[in-house]
Amino acid sequence: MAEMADVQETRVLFRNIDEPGLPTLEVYERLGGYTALKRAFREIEPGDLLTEFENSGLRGRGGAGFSMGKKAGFLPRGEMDKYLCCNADESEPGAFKDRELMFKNPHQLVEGVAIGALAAGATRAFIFIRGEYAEVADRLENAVREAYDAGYLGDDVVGSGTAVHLVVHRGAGAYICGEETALLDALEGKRGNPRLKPPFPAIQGLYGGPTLINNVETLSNLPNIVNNGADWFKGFGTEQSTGTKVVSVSGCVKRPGNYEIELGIPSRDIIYGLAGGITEDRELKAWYPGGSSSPVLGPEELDVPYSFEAMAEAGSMLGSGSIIIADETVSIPKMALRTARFYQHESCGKCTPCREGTNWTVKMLERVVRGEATPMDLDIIASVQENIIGHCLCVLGDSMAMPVGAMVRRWRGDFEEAIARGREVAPAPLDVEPAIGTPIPVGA
Amino acid sequence: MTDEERDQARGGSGEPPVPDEQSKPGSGEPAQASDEVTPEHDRASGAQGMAHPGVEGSTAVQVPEAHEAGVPDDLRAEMEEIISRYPQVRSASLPVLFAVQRRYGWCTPEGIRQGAAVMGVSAAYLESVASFYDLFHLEPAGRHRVLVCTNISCWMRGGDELLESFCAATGVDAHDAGHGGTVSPDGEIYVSGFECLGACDLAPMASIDERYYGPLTEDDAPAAVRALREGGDVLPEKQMATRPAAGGPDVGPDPRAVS
Repeated sequence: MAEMADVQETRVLFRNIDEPGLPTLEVYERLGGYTALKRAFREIEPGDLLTEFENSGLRGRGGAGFSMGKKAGFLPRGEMDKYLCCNADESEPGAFKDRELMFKNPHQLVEGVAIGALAAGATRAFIFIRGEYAEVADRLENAVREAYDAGYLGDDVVGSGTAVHLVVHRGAGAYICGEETALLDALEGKRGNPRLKPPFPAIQGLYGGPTLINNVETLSNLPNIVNNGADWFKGFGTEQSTGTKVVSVSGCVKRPGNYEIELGIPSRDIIYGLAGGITEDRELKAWYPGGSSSPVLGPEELDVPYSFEAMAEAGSMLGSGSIIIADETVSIPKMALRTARFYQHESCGKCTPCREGTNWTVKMLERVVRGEATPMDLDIIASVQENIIGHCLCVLGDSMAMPVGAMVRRWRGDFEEAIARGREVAPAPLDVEPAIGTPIPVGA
Repeated sequence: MTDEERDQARGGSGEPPVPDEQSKPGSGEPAQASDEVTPEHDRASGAQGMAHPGVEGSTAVQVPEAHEAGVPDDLRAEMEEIISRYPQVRSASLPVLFAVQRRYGWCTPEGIRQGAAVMGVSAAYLESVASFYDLFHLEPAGRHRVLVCTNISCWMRGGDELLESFCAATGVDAHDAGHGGTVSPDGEIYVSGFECLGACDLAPMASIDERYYGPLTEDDAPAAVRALREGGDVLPEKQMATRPAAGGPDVGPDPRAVS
């Protein structure tokens, strides 16, 4: 299909994104930065802030899509140590929106974190950023220093008498730490294993205190909502998916990257309009609509509106808003294997269905790709996925089971073909060890 | 409320209690222990600790003394500054380990001991944390680090081939690089295939000494390695920091986006 003309981005969070010097306080303030923080701390009651956020319909941008205002409202009232943690672990394959938001506009996040902390009644806030984003974390730390010096953070934020302290905490390379309770364990200096829920972090989170955990993009939206109001925010998007969304598009497209869209536009507009269509104008074969853990869709779903509700109805999810495109030359069994290997590597090993399920799924998919499998293996792969979903403390196992299960169901013919082809060709010698880094040429 | 008071109010003692038998150095190697336990050894580390779990004396055995750990003054100052950022000392585990790694090139046993001494936790505890995370090296890891993404989006755009060219340029064994990473024969450059680095827009890409580069061609690998070895500027035109947003730098704000 040819390129579509004239699909425009809706830049709100991304306005001024490439303005020279935007990461500095001086430029950010010149463009209107920190006016929302001053208003919020000086003029607005924290309770009214929460109401405004809930009315705006802002849903979490990290994956679950839960109402931000409702979540913050779960924190108990009263005098106690409460915490706000910004989840900047962004480790889902296909997701890279928070990286650009933080790298190019760190003060927008710092302002959002401070406002979020005020609304939640938290005096201590943390940004948990993945360790790989070292150059991003450097910029964030610089922004935090500038904000402290300007009185936007500290014991007495802009003379309001309210304290907010913010620490940038670097993770050290573990996907699981994006799971909110594992993130808390990592922040407490432990191995990042998920905790049993309930109690939920809103009741008992960091250091046992009530904790609000929100994604970078969610918190980055708060200054705009304070400045313009909930109704303004609802003017973007659909009724159930309000606002704009930064979508990461990658894989076999001509212009991979982050695009800010109004929620609810046709997915086709994002893929063929903004991202320029498929590499070398090939046919689209499959796409992950919301990161590597979302059930994979096909060309039939290209006109599904890009919103939380429409994606759920189509049998997948919006997740973190990360579209990965596979064109006709990509082998689905190999893509399933690549996906499963990631989750096998990142499983923390605490729950048996996830630890064993990811491991055996990889082994079976390797057999498929090497042509050593039998058709019965496909049924076993499918049943393993069903036995993982819903049976673990966190959703890491589900995150493999959903896309892999969807691929085996929907492209079963491709798997059967891989098996049959493998049987025709001479079988791979048994002493060849399947390797994580073994090159598998695209489409071979 | 001071930190101590807050801890007491929660019924804690400043740090969560650690069961003795888990944090004894060497207790993670049962085979060796059963082969080599002498009566003295047994009394000194195992039996006594088991007999008095949680008593003050046994904690003193686990936590290295600051003076015997030989912490350099500047490193100690850095670690103490890190610890002061957090309400609880253990939260400093990850940044303290990063400080150790910056100082010694990898998380050396001595470095971990020094971090543990300053934090007042056992070295075994800190090592157990370090071993969980991919970015901490428990073995020597060269002066430069190259992490090549081989996950879905990079794989589709040639990530595996890119990893191979980095292996060829550094002389690293491709199999080892794909299985947790390894160091070049001259001990200079560590190369590893890595899980999604969160830069699929740069695919195929690599993180070189904590900076992102992409999209890379197979020819970029030898050029980058040469720059690392000779101390030059690495691939200046491929740095993430130089890239505008995908839609271009000239897309204006939405008319409704007033601030």
